[in-house]
Amino acid sequence: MIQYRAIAYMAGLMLWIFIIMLLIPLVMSLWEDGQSTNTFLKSMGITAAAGTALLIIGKRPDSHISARTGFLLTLVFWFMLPAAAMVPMYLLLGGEDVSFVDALFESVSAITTTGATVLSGLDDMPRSVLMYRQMLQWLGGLGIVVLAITIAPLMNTRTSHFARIDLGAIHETELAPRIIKTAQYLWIIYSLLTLTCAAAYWVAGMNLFDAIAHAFSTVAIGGFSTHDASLAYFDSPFIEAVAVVFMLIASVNFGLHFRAMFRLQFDHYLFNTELQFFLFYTVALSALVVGVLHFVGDQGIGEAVRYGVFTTVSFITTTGFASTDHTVFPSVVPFLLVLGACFGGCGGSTSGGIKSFRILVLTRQSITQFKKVLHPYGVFHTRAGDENASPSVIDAILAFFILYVFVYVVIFLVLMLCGLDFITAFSASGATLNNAGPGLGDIGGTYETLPDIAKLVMCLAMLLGRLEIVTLLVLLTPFFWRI
Amino acid sequence: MNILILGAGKVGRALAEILSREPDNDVSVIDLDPDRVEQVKRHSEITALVGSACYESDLKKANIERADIVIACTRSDEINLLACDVAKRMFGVPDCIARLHSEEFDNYMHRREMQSGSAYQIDQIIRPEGLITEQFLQLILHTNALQVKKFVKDRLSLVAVRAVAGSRGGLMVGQDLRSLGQTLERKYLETRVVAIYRQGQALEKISGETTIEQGDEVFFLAESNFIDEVIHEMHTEVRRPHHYIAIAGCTKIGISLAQILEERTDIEQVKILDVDRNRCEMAADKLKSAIVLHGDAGDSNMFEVENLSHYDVFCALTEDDEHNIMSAMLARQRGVRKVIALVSNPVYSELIESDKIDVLVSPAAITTSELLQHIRGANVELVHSLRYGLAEALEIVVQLNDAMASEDPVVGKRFKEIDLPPKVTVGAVVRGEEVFLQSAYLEKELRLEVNDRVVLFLSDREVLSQVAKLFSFHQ
Repeated sequence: MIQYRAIAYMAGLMLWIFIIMLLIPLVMSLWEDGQSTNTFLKSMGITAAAGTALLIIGKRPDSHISARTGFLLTLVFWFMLPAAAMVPMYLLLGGEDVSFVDALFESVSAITTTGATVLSGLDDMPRSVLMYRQMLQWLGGLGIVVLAITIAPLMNTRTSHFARIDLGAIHETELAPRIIKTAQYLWIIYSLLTLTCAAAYWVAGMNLFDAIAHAFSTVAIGGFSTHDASLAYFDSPFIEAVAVVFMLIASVNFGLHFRAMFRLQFDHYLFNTELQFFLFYTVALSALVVGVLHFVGDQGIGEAVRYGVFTTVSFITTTGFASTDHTVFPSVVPFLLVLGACFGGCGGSTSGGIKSFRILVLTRQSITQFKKVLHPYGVFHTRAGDENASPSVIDAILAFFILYVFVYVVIFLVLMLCGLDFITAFSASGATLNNAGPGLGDIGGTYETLPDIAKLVMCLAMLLGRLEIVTLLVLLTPFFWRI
Repeated sequence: MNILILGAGKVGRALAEILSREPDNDVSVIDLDPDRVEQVKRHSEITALVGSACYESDLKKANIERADIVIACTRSDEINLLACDVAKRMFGVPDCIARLHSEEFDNYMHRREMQSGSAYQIDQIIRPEGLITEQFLQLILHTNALQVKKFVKDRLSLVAVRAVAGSRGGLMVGQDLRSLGQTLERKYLETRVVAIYRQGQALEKISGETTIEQGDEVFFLAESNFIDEVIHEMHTEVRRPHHYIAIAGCTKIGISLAQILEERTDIEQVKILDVDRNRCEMAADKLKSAIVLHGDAGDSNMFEVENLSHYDVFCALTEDDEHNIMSAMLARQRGVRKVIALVSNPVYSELIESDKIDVLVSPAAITTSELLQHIRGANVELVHSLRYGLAEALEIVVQLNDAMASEDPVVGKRFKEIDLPPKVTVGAVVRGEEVFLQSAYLEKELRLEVNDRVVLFLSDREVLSQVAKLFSFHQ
């Protein structure tokens, strides 16, 4: 049975946590000039009212939450949080330039750590508003990790492989036997990473505000910036290098970071097959992009390396920072990058996309297929690392991949139906489904000019991507609602 | 000596039989299965009774109090360990030997923690699987070798090759041993022929004048590093290392052999096959580059599809003798260069002609060799049972013989002065780092000293008692 009242209660609780988070931009606004203070207070009031109402309707779950309730709860969170985040966004910025849909798009993009924006003129906005945006990304970034870990065991009640799939790295992912403990560890890892990243940005030359703001969106693999020009504003190779390093770190399975931080086991970084594979294709694609920029695009080798590597890492990890205008690169490069974003980082990280371990297993599975064709009598197992991927894991990954391609195509077609041209629609469906951010064509910079209906479709795409498709689509199946 | 064997399986039976050949030994066997006990009883002078290997009452019936040695070789590792422990602690049997299948047990029984205090008390562990795997590995790695047995901490190898006159004329066939030795010496290869088998019979006496004929099986000793060169010089066929290995049977031995082979860079491809789907799955789990095939070795279509006829070595390693023999013969007929089969039953071994299957490996013989070297005591370093237990190669450490205080029969003497029985050949003497293989010096000049290691080849086990008396060890 689905425990609706438990869901309401948890949702109410979540809203109150969100209100606490709103205190930070509120304080900032008071300290700055008090311009946005009223708006933040007003939104806190609205959210508090909704939260309290939910708490009253709801009932504290007495023992444990059933698997289906878990699914629904995840979904409610991921639909409710952008809605709550939208309230201050609309109250702050709403007007001629920013419509209701724009505010929604911006909130969804922030919480799903996509980093696609409809705003311009960021440089002139109050700092409290900018920080609010960055914080939303940070919250979304952690949310996905925590939720992945919290929800996975719930799914696990049916098929024991679901958890492992969701967490990526086919083995060695469980940090602590208790979910609550795991979530606490993740909080610590995530906060420490953010602090280190902020410090590194500050040392590299950002001011304190920018350093913290960018650390939020870097570790979350989000991609929001406090400047219209994104990281290109700073025009500093050091800052770009810091960004590259932390984007890569945040794309690694957090289970590995956990082992390094709490168990002092560093060798896992060397022997993790998924990580090896992720680094392999990141390096390979970077080299390819640098090569094309240098030989086809006639850029100097120094510039080619600087912009090539940064842009590739930014796309592959699905972050979406820009250090230069990627749309003017030789045409194969932007296209490669949009496709590269489909790969994404490792499982159990904050990045989006198909994820490294799935690509790895799919590749190995194809090789197994070749062997099967050559050796009709052969018995082959698909290996991932030192372990065999069990048939049920392979089935799940294949199903995910098929759904992914299907959903991609549908979104792409619907966006074209909304009036987008081919290139814009193609890149926009990738950028939103992979939670990457920038695209090609009309959306090289911001999504401002797109029609409202397209923005709504993309909101759905971003949520689909963040929830790894299956979690959302399973609710559309009739058997979910049957007892 | 009173010997009690627990478990009358293949190994237990073979062991009982070999040990009971010595007139001084009293052998008893215990097994839970009345049929097996009946089989053993029918056989000969072995006492056999139905009972458990671990129960006090049953063991007492088997006179365990008087036993000098207990050998536990039941099917289960756990029972073997427990039985040895019971024998040791409750009955104070001086020598307890356990046969184990699992590598895990073998590994940790050797750890210091397990050897101290109240842990299992066992004098010796024997793991035939490991020994058999090693034997197969040697046969795969050394082209044209029919037998490879290591001596003196692997420094020396006893190798058997078949003399074949090839298109190159043949270095070996038609030559006498002296000129063969001289030819090899010119290439700085030292070797010594210790036995020649012609039509299954050992030549009574071999000397420098003995001529090697087509089809002879020649046993020689050489330093392990050079055996491939020596084989190459002696065997006329073009030497080509084996790169493609097929293994029939996803058994424990088959899988561990495949695992070792796939780690080696000189092996191109390993294929392992089995008729049982589950075993194939298990093998596929454990193996990396080796290809696991689900099918019968007798399936000619599979042989063709998988190109197995072009393979260099075919190892038949299932648990079924008949199946191993048939599939090995089929493989040979289809063109595999070297076929090796695991055959437990000694009756089959005598039946099969050498042109059908190159080498038969007997698990019982390997296990027995290992047990024998333990039974014979500290003087005997290594025993290799050869030719289905009829012949034997020994590595003996020379010790002063206390029983005959007046004059030691071996120490300080030259071999020509020592009263060696017929059918015994001196293979080599190793003193410290020095190896003596050269016939003239070895036979006429070298005087034996204490702690010399002597490698002897006995073409007939009958003479063992005389050798034992000379070098003072148990049989």
